[in-house]
Amino acid sequence: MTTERETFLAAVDEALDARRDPCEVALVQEWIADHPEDGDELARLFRGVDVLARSRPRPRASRKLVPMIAAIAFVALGVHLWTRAPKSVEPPRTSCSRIVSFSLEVTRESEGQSTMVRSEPDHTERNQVSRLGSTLIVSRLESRLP
Amino acid sequence: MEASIALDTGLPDEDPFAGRLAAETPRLRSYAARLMPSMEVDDLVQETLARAWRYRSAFDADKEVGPWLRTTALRLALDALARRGREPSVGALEEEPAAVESSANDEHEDVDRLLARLDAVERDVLVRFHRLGHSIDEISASLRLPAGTVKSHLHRARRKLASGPRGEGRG
Repeated sequence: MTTERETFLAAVDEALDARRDPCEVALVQEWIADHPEDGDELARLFRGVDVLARSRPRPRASRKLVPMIAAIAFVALGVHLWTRAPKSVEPPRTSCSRIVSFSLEVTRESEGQSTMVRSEPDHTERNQVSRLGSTLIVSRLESRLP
Repeated sequence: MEASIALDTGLPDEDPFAGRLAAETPRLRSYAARLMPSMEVDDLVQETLARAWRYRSAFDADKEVGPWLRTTALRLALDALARRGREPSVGALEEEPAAVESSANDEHEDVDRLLARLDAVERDVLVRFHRLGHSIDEISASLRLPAGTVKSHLHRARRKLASGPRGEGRG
C-alpha cells in the first residue's frame, strides 16, 4: 500500500517537475478515484503551487517605463525636427501663422510616485517625486540641447 | 439503470466533436461518480462537458477524448475540494466573486504560513521552482547542489505544502 502510494506521489512529482498537469497522468486519475481521501491533499498541493505561480514577480518597472520612454522619444523627435528644420525654407505665402515656440509637459502618477517631464525646444526637464516610508524623495534631471 | 446514466448533454447533435463527447459521457459519468458524492456527479459531468466544448479548438482530433475529459473532471473535482476546504458554505462547483476574492487572500496567507514552516533550503528550492520558474538544473547550479538533492528538497517541500497549514496530510 505504502509502495503504491509512493508510486502515486512520484508520478505527481514527475509531472510537476516537467511542468505538466499531474491530472493528465492516468495513474494519478485512477489513484484519486480509488483513494478519494488523497484528493484533499492533492488539491492543497495544486492550490499552493498555483498561488506560488501566480505570485511570480512581474516586470513592473518596464511596464511603467514604456509609456514614459515613448513620451520622451516623442518630445525628442519634436525638438529634433524643430532645431533641424531648414532655415531657408520660407513659410507658405498663404500661411498667416507659424510655430514660434512650443513646450510639452507629461505628468505620470502611480503607486505614490509622480513623474513630470517638461520639454521645450532647447531644454528638457524631468522631475520625479516619490515617497519611501515617510521620506519624500525629489529628483530633478535637466538637460539642455545645444 | 439506463436512466441513471442517460444525461442531457445539451450539445448539438450534428457536430462530430459533440458526438464524440456524447459517446464518452457514460464513461465520464462513471469516473465522476468515483470522484464526487452522488448528488454532485451530474454537476461535475455537465461542467466537464461544458469546458470541453468551450475549449474544443485546443483538442487534438487524432487523440482519444476520454483521457482529456477525465483530466478535466479530476481538475474540477480537486478545485471543488480545495474550495470546500477553505469555505464550507460555498457550493462545490459554483462560487460567488466576493468569496473568490476573500478566499484568494486566505490562500495567500496559508501559503505564507506554510513557507515559514519549511526548512530554509526547501523553501528556497520551492520558491525558485514554482514562483520564479527556475529549472531544476538552474537551481542546482545556483545553490551548488546535485540535481537529485534539489529534487529531494523540492518533493519534500511539496509534501509539506500538501499537508496544509495545520499538517492535515498523511505525509
